[in-house]
Amino acid sequence: MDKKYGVYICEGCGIGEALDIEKLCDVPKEEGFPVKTCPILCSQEGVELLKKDIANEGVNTLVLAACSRRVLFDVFRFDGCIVDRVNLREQVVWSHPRSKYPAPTEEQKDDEDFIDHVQMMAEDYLKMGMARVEKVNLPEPYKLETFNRKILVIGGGITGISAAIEAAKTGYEVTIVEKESALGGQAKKWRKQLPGAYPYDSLIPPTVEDKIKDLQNYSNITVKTETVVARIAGEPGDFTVTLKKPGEKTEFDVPYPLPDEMKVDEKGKELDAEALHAKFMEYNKGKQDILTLDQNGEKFGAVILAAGWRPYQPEEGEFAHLGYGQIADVVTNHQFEDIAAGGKITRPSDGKEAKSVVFIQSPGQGDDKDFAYSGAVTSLVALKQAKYVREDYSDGKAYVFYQHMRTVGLTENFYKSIQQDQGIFLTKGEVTGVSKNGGSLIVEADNTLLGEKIQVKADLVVLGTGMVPATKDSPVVNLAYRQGPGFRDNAIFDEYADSNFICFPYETQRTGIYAAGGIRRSMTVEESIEDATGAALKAIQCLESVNRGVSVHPRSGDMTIPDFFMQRCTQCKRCTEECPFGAIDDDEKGTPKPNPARCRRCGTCMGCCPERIINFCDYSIDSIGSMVKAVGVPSEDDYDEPPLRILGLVCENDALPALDIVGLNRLSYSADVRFIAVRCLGSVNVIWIKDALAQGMDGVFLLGCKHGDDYQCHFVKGSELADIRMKKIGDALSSLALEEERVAQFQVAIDEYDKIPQIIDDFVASVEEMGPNPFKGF
Amino acid sequence: MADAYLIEPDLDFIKEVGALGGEDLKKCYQCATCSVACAISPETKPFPRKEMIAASWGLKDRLVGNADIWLCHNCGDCSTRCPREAKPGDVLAAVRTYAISEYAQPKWLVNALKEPKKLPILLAIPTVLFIVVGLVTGLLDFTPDLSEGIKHYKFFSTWLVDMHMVPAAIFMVAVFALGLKRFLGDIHQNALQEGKTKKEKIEVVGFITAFLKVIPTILKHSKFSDCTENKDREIAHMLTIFGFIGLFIVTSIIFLVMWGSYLLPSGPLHGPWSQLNPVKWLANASGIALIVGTVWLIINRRAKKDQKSDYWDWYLIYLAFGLGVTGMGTELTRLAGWAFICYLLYFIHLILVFCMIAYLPFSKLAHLVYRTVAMTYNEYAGRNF
Amino acid sequence: MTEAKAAPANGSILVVGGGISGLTTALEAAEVGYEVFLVEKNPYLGGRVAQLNQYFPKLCPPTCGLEINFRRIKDNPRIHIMTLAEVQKVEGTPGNYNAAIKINPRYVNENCTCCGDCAEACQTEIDSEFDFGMKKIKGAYLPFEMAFPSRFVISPDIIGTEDAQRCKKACKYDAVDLDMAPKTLNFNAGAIVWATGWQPYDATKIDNLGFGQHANIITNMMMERLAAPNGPTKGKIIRPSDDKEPESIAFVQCAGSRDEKYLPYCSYICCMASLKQATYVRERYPEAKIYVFYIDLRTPGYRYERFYETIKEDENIFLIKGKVAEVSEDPSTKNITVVAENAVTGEKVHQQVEMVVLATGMQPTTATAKLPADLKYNADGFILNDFEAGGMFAAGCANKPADVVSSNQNATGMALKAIQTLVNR
Repeated sequence: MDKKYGVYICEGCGIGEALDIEKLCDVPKEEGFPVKTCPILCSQEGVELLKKDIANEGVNTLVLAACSRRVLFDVFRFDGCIVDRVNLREQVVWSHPRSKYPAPTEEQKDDEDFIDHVQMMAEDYLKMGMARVEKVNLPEPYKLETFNRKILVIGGGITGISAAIEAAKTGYEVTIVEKESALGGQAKKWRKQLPGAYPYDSLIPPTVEDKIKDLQNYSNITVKTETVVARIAGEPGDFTVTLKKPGEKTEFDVPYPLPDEMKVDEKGKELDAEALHAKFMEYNKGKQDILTLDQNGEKFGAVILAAGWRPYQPEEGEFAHLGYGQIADVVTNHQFEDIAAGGKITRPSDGKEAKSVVFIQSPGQGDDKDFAYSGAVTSLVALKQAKYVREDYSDGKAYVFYQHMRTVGLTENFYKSIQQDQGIFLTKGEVTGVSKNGGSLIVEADNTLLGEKIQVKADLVVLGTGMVPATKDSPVVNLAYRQGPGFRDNAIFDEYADSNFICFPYETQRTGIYAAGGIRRSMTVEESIEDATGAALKAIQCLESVNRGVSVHPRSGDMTIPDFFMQRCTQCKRCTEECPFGAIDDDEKGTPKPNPARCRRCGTCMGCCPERIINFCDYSIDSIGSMVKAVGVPSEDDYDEPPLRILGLVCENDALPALDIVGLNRLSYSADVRFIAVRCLGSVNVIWIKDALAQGMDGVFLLGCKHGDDYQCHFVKGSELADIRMKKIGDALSSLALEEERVAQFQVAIDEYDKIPQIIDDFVASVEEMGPNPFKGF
Repeated sequence: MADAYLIEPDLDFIKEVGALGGEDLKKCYQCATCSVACAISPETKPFPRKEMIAASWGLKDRLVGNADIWLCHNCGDCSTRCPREAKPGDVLAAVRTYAISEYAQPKWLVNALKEPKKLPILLAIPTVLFIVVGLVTGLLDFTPDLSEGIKHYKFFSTWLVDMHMVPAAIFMVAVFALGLKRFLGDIHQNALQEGKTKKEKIEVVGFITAFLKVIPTILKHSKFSDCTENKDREIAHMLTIFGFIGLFIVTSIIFLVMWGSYLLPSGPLHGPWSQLNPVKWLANASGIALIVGTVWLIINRRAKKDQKSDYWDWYLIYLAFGLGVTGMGTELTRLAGWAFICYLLYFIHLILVFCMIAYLPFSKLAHLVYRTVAMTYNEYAGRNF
Repeated sequence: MTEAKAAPANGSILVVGGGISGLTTALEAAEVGYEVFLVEKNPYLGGRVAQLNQYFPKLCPPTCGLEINFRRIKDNPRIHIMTLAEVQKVEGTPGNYNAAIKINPRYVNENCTCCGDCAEACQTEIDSEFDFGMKKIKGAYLPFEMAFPSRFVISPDIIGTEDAQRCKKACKYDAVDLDMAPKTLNFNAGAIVWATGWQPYDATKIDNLGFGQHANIITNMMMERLAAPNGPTKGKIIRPSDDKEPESIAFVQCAGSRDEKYLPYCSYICCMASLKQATYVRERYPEAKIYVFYIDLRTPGYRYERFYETIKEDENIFLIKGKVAEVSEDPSTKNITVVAENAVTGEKVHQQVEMVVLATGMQPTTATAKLPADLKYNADGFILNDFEAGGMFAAGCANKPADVVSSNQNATGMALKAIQTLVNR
């Protein structure tokens, strides 16, 4: 579109009082931008003025110098127009009071050497806003050529079945793949099931069979048993899935990325893209490359990962102190469930009736931890299984040794009702040993509520071991992605396919694939069904978003996509490797093959690209670069003591709102800083920093989210990657003969606005110590 | 702590305690609120939390021979505070009932005292004895000569009284002696096991000094006064006890004086004694105290819905009440000159006295012995109770 | 047929409650493509989590997620927000409900620029409900910095007073409208999701734990406010009686929860909340002694278990298995002594501390105020979901006690349930 500019300056909220608006208007005038001022831009008159200019003057590119873009978002939304909100209020006048940065008096007005910091800042921000709108364009929705609305559910257990039914009920076509010969999963192996609804007080018959029956009522659900996923290629809305029989070998089995040690030659030198690919193909002999599409593959739009869990299998010698492995009548809760489901509870060793059963909830040895991969479920299961003993034998005795009875929420009612059974005995305590004693076993426990070391005679001992997520053993989803077949970083979730986000529990690093049920946390049937319903919604939501050509969370609705200028690509593969969402694959030459529907629009690819060939239409190397260049850098030529100029690149998700709050609370910080908001620190390209320093700025800092295992970055890796880049930038600076301390990154949480002024001022002070940038004025 | 203790839950015990009024014991989830709520529970190894888990695990041996169940004065503070409504107070009461039966012999008498149905038999025993023996020996005269006014011994000879009451008392003491021997052994065992005492064994002197120490506590009812739940019980209970003690003293004096008086040339002295006699004053005062006390207890128990009261409790209270009423009744009707009613009441009074004495070790009244011993032991064992 | 059904539907969804669950339901449904009306009784969105300092186990600020959600709302024209609004009546059947919604006056219109001049001008100070009365705020106030909508409110308390006029005068933007009156709107909605959330249980009812009797006994929600940078103490944890920095703190678990007399169920979050708050204390006072009295420590699942592991490493945090049943105050020092039996050692513990935090449980708001709709409740006041009947659903803590993660999972699922009602009507 050919742009018709309009700059509008608001005088409200103290802007007018603090700034010389007339002088400010000269800035756009010099650039030939039409400019108007308004006492209150958000008032009816103000908005009318804007609408009129849009309608009559055909203005379509507006620079609104007023308040933060976080407020009055709806007032200043004009469809079909490019709008830039220059934040004169929170970022300039509210955080730089005239009391601290006095305005020039009449005589000072023409004093060449007087520095009006606040006015200067306002002018810079206005310039930056104008620079930006010159460089950005309105996005077009991205549409896939072929779009498929079918949902693939991996796993035919209670979670998978529920997810399928919920999606089908909403009108979507679903295919369930189950590796076993029949649906039902773990839930089919139980004698009884935990209560799944209020009053949660008694066991119920297993519900999975009814679910399976219910499933048959849906013509839009296809079930494929004895089937697993060989690979999933493509992107949301257009996945090509190769299915196969379990254990079967096919050319479309997903290839695995090269281990790092294989990525270098004998001399330890990085291999080039083509050599790497050759090695990769050799490493994955008999398998097709990820980019080779399976012509017979089935098309799907979204995936629900409900592959569930498997019983924990203790290793050789594990829990030896509890007799596991040595004593036949020491079993896991899973083995016990099998026994109970098979009929009366008997002992594996001699088939005799097991009337006295001890349930152990914690491996002990000085720790009150439960068994690995357990949770509230394992406490509930112990109570359930204790009840079995009583069902089978009127004179049966069930003992539960727990450290913490974890019947959370309303399931406390189940605990209450089980307690009532006169033959069930519960105590906190640490089991120290299990030993044979003639025909039966002796369980010894310490630190119990009975006041001393105790022993219990038992026919059978049951260990409350946990539920191991399928993702512990294999990626399951087998994504034909260059980054690899599985979810990344599951290690921080103990290999569960869980989400790091508390607020957004379905968000993972793989767009369009949503995990549910036991694969993401130990869950009861009730919880799994709820989770499945949520995952079904997310899958549907992803489909509809892709269909509209917009992004999913967290930039929901964003229509921009990264645009690659391939001619200049050097096949460095960095974008492929760094994209937090694995949205980019690359071919045998290392040329990126973006998958826009996988993309979450964070701009990490743009940030990491050394050739700067990746850009978004409204957010690009150039748009930010020109904002940087728009910042005035005063030098000795201008003043005897020119003020410092420091660039702050701030994450728009957390740091920028925090900065607004700094202003709202009228906290103030150095007036030498100029901020530019970025989508995510991951999108920060070092060229901006180099340019800033090259044009004489004295320092640059990044303000973004916390990283580490508990990262707060909404794009998972952005702030972490930026941190790595900033560490690397050191040598680049020394080549410019600049101290690397001139560049820094700070982690702030959104609520740490009270700390921000200090962080900024400290950095400014440290730069002051280093002295001005020698490049000033050149 | 010695080597590990082998747990053997006794399901029948759990049922039994439940039946005796502790049916909520299984609701306990061991938060230990009760031990804190209890104003008289010791700092170390406090009750009733550990008793609650012992009960829900059916550990009979841990409870029956456990002094702590007797330290509890059943005020109900713990039951009121209990978040699970497991009623520790009632559970302990039930366990005490169980313990009394456990230490008393013969068992049939124990069971007889637990069942309302058996009450007629219990009452029949003295009645029949009195009449049969009385008629055979001629010591019971249904047409006493009233010329010298109402004289009880003319109707029911003092001989007859004592030839029943003395053996009954001996029987009672014997039963207690046997029971207490086991009891003391058990509670000491238990104390050692639960680490409640450092004393290796029980030596007599120390134990007696301990006994003397606790007497005032018992008489002052200072343990009751610590309770917040039903304080009013304190005075009632005190009146009742003092009533009993007073009457016990009076009876003893009369007993001695009468038998002593046989040595006098003037021949034996028989009641009734003059109202001016201080002994009489004590008798009257005690009688009134007993009646007032028991009436009060009855009212309290009726009022307290959340606290268990069953036949076991009522038997004792009404027996005590009956003793008081018939006792005073006999005196008043004598003064009024209503011979028939007076003799009738006296007859009933004697039946009740017999029941009280003979059945003491089997009835709830036994708590007066067990609790005293337990408190003494506790004092001796040096628990900060 | 799939196509037809799956296409973003006609008919809209009414979500009642703008806490984290309601926000989640509303956003997830709207981002599928449905029209959503979100009704919140407070003047701001965010509900209970807005009052929290940090989430467990990540120790990250709730405002972080809220801010993203607010942005999702801003970018999504399909969501319509109504604050200070309460549902008065709901009639109709699944697929076709009519709801009467009362909107209480904010006395501040959309002209508000958040400049704060009205607060400047206002002289009356009122108790901040947001801070559980631990802070006084002006009669004209912004609920909290990140409040959305970011617009001031004038408390009904000052309406008709001088102050109200002062606020009006002070406003340059003609945003103060003292003549605003309550108005009732009628809505048609195909489905309704009740995300009416929870309230902290009234600790004064638990007479033996001394809340309201002794100054230095506070609740866990008050602790969140004390620790929050935007709280009454700007994030300093100091005890109420004398603003002293506590050197010892006791956390009393199950204050009301798991108690037949108060809340018979487990409130799910209190154990993790207290362990989290122990980290607040530790962060500020490296030497402080921290005592946690519990019945069971409920930190289920790998993530919470791991968090608990780190707490255990701190040798100045003492975890005692025994419920506090008695508290007393030293009149001179105002210190509190809590009494419990350590059920493992069988010793009574009399721990004197400078401050006590009661881990009070969560009670559904519907326990004290039933909703004007045909809904079923359990004995504790939680809304029972009847998926057979459909049409109306409870999400998050309106349905059962839960942590934020589970609430959001649940709320996401309820968005689908609502959509199904529209699709299949």
